[in-house]
Amino acid sequence: MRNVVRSEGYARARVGIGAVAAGLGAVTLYRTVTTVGFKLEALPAYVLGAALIALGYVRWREYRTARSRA
Amino acid sequence: MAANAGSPPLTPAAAAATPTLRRSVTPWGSFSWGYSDVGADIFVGLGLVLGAAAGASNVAFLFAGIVYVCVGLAYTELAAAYPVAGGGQYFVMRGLGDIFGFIAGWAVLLDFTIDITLFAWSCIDYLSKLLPILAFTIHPWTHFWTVFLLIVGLATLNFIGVRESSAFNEIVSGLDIASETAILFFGFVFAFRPELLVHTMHGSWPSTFNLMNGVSLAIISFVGLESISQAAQETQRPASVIPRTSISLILTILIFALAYSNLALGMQPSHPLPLDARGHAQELWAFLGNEENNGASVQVLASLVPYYGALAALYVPVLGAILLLISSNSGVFGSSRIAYAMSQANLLPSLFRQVHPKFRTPAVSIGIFCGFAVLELIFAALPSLSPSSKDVYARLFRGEDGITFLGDLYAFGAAASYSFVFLALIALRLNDPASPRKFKMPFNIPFTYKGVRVEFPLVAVVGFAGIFSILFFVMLTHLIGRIAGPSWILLGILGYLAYRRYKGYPMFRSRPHDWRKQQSKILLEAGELELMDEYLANLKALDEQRAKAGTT
Repeated sequence: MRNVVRSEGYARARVGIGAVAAGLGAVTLYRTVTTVGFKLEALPAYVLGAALIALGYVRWREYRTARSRA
Repeated sequence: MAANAGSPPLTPAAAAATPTLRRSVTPWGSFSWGYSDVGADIFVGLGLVLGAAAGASNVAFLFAGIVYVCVGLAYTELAAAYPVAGGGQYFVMRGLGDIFGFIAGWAVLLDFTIDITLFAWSCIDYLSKLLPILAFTIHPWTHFWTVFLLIVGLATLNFIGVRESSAFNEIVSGLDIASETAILFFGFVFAFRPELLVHTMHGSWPSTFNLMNGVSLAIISFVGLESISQAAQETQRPASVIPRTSISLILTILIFALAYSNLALGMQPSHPLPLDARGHAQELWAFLGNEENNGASVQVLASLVPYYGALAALYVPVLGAILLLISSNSGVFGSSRIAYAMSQANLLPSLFRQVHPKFRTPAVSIGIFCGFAVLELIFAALPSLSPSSKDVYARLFRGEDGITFLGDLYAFGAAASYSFVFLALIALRLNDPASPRKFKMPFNIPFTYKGVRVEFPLVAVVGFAGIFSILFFVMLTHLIGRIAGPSWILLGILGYLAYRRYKGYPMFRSRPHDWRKQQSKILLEAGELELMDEYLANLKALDEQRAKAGTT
């Protein structure tokens, strides 16, 4: 397990999943805007979309830091 | 609780021989440690919140989620700056003094004892979806005895010192994240209808009282951040690793909670739902939040997802039960460890750090807190086991019982201890500016305090207001929580004062602590040598600044 976690493949998989999360976040925001619009009841969906994009950003930043160290 | 590291030093002699825990937890280990603790909460919280907040469940999760992000950021900053296993209790003792440290630790102990019962209860609820003989609503006595035996079994394992390995925890966490992602993916792609979500929110919006009730229950989906600080003591280079893993953990948990609540309100089930007790058609959120399903709502929701549901119905009960069992075990282990740390800090009697001569485990603490857990189980299960007590509960507690009672107290303990942690963070920013903080909560206001430049954390104020309002909601909406929670704290304070008086220690003031020496030792043991050098340089500069300003 430890070797897997330290491998570059694992780091790439994490940034890949992060990219998927960010993509899902963008889709969530787009669908919320087009179906519900800017209404108060859509707030949880907006925060969900933003959190997914933030997760993608965190993963990408981690990957960049790991690569610069290597 | 994930830990492959050695046991904590349990006797003065042993402490001298093995003064520190082995730091062998990797970044993924640190993440999965937290995930196995907090990630299990949604398995319990979803059904309870849907039952209370109905069409506003996603709003309840949003409110609690924002507060949770603030709490998570506070724990991340404090755990990275002070990587010791005492967690909230240690931060509060250091920031606000001994008595407040005791109150925060005592509230955490309440949470850990509830954790044992609540998650053992829910673990059996999930298994009952595969083995109906364990169903609480059909066979309450079987359910009761199974939960009881599970608690006794966990206590025995902890008593003889058997703990699950970190690798096992990491695998279960990884499987659970993949599983939950798959459920949400299939649910959102094939069955989610935004118009249905808006319709449900409009048509089933709860009363203000029920919304507050829902928010107070939603916070239980985010409890367990103590694990961040517990992991900090066993993580390599905690100041660098903890912020990285914590932010990922906070976002992952927030995403799952918001996604599940939105899906439960806006999903078209893949097959028709059964009629309710009065023969009426019921909406998905009501079906998930009823007494029969609220203990295993994630499994029921997963089984209704198109294409994937049939497969999910088979394995989610087992996966959920394992995750909940790990979480229940973290209650047994965590309560004895916190009690041990509090006893070492002279906040609790030495009884709590007594160890078994053969197994070298804190046997007395394990026995006492598992005893409390069994009492809570009896109190929660009594109305279902005895019809006469059901009437009494209906009269005195508005019919609250079982899992709702456990949820009430869980929310109370968490809200109480987190409130103090925010105050401690503010106090430490002002009084201990020399400790290096590799991670700081965002949005700070710099100003001069006692001749030294410090930063006031605005997010801590927002978080304190949020968690305090949740504490208020708990007290307002839960009759049992209103009585049992403060009673626990009050009894604890009386015991603390009696103990301090008996030992001749100051009752309301703190005993002298050499925090500077302690901090250097903490950083040295953590392997953060650069930070230790920075700390010593900061101290020198701080003393010069204070001398110049004429303050001490």
